[in-house]
Amino acid sequence: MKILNNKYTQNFDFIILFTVIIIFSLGIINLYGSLSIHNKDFFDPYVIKQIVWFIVSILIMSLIISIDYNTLIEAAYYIYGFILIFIVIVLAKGRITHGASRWISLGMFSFQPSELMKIALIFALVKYFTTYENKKGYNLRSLAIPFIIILIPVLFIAKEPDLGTSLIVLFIGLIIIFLAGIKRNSMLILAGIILTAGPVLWFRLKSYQKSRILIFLHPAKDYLGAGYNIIQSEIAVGAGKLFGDGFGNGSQSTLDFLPAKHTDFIFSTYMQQFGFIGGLVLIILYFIVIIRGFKIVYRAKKLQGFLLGGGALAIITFHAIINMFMTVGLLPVVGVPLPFFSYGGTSLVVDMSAVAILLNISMRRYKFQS
Amino acid sequence: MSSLYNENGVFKEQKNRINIIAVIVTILLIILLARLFFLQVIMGGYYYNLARDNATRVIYLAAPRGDILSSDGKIFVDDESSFNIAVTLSRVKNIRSELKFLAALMHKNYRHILKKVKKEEFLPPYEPIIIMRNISVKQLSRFEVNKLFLKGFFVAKIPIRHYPYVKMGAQIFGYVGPVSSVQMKEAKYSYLNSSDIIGETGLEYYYQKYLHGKDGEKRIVVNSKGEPIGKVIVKKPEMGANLYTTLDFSLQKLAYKLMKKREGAVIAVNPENGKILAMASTPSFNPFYFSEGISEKHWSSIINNDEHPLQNKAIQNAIAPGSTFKAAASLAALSLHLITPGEKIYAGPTFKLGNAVFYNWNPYQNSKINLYRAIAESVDTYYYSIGVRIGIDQLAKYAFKLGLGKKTGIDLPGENPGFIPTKRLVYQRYHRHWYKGSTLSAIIGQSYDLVTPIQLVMAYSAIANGGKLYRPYILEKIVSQKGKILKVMKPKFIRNIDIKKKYLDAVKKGLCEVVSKSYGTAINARIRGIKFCGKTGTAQVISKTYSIYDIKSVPRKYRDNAWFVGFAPLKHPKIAVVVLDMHARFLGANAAVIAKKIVEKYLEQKGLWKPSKHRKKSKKSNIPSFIYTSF
Repeated sequence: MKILNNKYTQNFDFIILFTVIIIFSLGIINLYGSLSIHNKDFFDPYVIKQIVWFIVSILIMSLIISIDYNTLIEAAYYIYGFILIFIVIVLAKGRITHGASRWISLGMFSFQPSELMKIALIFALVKYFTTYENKKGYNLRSLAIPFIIILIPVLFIAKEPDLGTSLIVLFIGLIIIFLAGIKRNSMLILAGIILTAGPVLWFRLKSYQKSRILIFLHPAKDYLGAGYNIIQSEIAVGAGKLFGDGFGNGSQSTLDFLPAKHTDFIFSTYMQQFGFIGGLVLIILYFIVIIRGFKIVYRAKKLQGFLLGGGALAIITFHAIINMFMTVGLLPVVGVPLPFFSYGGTSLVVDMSAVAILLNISMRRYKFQS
Repeated sequence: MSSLYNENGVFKEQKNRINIIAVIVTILLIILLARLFFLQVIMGGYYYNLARDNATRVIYLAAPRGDILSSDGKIFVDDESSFNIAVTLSRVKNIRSELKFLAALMHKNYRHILKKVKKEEFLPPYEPIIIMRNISVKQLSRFEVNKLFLKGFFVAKIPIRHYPYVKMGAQIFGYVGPVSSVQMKEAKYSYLNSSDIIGETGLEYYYQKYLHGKDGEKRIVVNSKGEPIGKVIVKKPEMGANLYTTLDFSLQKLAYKLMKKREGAVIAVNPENGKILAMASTPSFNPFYFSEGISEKHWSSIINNDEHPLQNKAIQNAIAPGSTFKAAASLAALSLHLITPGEKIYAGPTFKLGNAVFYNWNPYQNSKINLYRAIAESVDTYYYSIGVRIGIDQLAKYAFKLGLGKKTGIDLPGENPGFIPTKRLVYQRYHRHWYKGSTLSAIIGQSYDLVTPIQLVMAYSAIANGGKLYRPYILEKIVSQKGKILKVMKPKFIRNIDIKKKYLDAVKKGLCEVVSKSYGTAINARIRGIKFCGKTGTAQVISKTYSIYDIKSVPRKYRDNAWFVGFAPLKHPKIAVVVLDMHARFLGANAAVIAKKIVEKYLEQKGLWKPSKHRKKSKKSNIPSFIYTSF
């Protein structure tokens, strides 16, 4: 069997792929522009590493595309279990070293199993819902197992502690439950449970997590302390004005006023350099990716493709919106990368894998075409 | 229960749900764009400035103050570079060990220096902290040699007020000090930076605006740690304008030198225009102590000195004029036709008014005398006999005409108006009714009479120049560093004193006899070949009337104040001088001798007088050690 026959290429969504490559390229340019003023180097380790990760993620992408997603769904529980073991290892390592740990180091590169869990979780849930398909919709009791599948990694990741990622994993899971067909009554009850759990959860938060939320509400209250990040980020964004200060002239990042300028606050870095117009371009690019993704999901003929695509799309969309919202002060600060744009290998691999899943689904639509 | 799937087995409910999500996502992206529009387009300017402020640090560079010079361009006060050791904390690795090294090197107390650094620790780390001010050349070279071991430390040159003649004229020129937070709030000081120094008194205060100059600045781009990045933009400070005073350099020096060991004041003025030629007030203080904020020790030593070094006695000290007031009394009596110059009036050793007895200073006085002799010998009883015939308000009217008891308007801060009594003013000020006997005291310059040396010398100037009262002034001109004249003071004629010339001439004749006649009270002030005219005076500090007393038995602060005020030459007067010798050690003509020396010096400079060889030799004997004939 040829891997790429006519029908594959016919349905391959090149627009998504090209848009993603454009976003990534902008990200590399932006990364150059954000370098600190006294260590500008063409072969900057950040840029080089990011390009290496891009190549790695293209390879992983090709691998995902070349395997029928139904085959991948078959292996879902194994993938899920495998990643979960890594999360437990990370957690154990953190316990031993008495520090927060989210990383597993593999020589030169290190990766975050909690990020990979996002993909694994989608597969596990899709596997469950396609195995136990219920055309009448699910009530809460019948959703017990999916909830267990979701909550185990969510709790582990929250213990790392990485509240941001664990919440995103939770939301991705909830989106799949929503799409799989939770009954409307059950949905209301679930919303009620989450709302009452909120205050209980508040007292379980670590103090820095609490302050992040409080500071989100009143950033100026603690200018040099917990409010520093968000204020510096807003300054960077605002300072860009309509056209931006230009490439390499984002003082907030080149002079290191902006924390996490390569990762979580990369969007602010970009906005100071390229202004509102640049921001508009970037948001349109993301919009293209997301809308094309919706189209693929919408056009899926089988539940497997639909749910899998929905989950993959949820990863990209959550990442993009939460990250941008947080840098402009519309959401509290959580460690979420901007897809294809932030520096960071694991998140790039995860987001590219999500794109690969969408491409995989769009490619194999021919199977259902008459 | 309805199904999620339609009749063809297609999951229609789920597809609706994905649509809902798509709509929500679109709305969220629109919200994001709106937020970006708000931050970048509407609030863009605000955040742009915040970003710039984040990254730029401004260090102000103090502008040197303008110089204060004599009329002939000699420097009284200027700025010099002081060498200070400063440290930039962001460049120092281990501040404690480096400070210990520095302290040992400079023979200073380590804890003391550390305390200084600690005090400024809240400053951002790029901001230099000055830890040793005004180091000596020796210390400087020691520092330079060991510079390699003191990374982050450097020598900062800072302009500092320099007083080549230290205490001379300190009250006139004034002192400067670091600007206070209260002063910073004043609108007139809006141009100052918090690190500036400011004129606090004297000319430094009066012409602060001109002397100050324009501060420069160093703009540094810094990163989030406050480390300087990239280039430094420097705006050079511009030195303030130079202030040329009317003071004659050598006369000023002489005036201070003569007064140095006394308490009192000297003013020399050009009677034809009111230009101050010399002004001294003693004891003086070292204004340098104030320039960096005065220490507790120095402040208390100055403030607890009961000779008031900070006070400019020439304009701020109003005391009884004593017999120098008799010129005004004579003019009043002549103008009111109570006497004529040649008319002889009996003057005895005492004068009785009711039960009260008023004494003449000289108990042997017992003859009929005219006005000239009354002035020359300063006969009190002559004036008492006028005093019983003159009303106090009439007497005051003539004193006011001469400008006594009112501010002269000199361009120095803190002038004292003095006080000349009238019935109404005394009631207002002291809530006392006028008592006839007080007029007798007032007419010889006692009781309520209070005048400042500047008032007295301007009044005598008006007598000397034929009746023109001028406003005294000490600023000649202000010239910017580029040579532009910013301000020129012109003589200001206030008014004619409105007294007939013949009366003025009569009084002048009497004043000249004070010096020239053998019975005059200031014979020791005689200048060969020059008609030097003036009047001595002794003002009682306590109201007890002594005829003659043993001077040494009286505590210093109760000793009388000696005055001399005069002018020379009689025709076309060139200089008027007032000398106030407070609590004089010798109740004497010393005041007149001081005045004489100043007049001689000035006339010699002008080529109007030459000292004879004979006189020069006998210089030492000029000041008699004990004379009490100068009432």
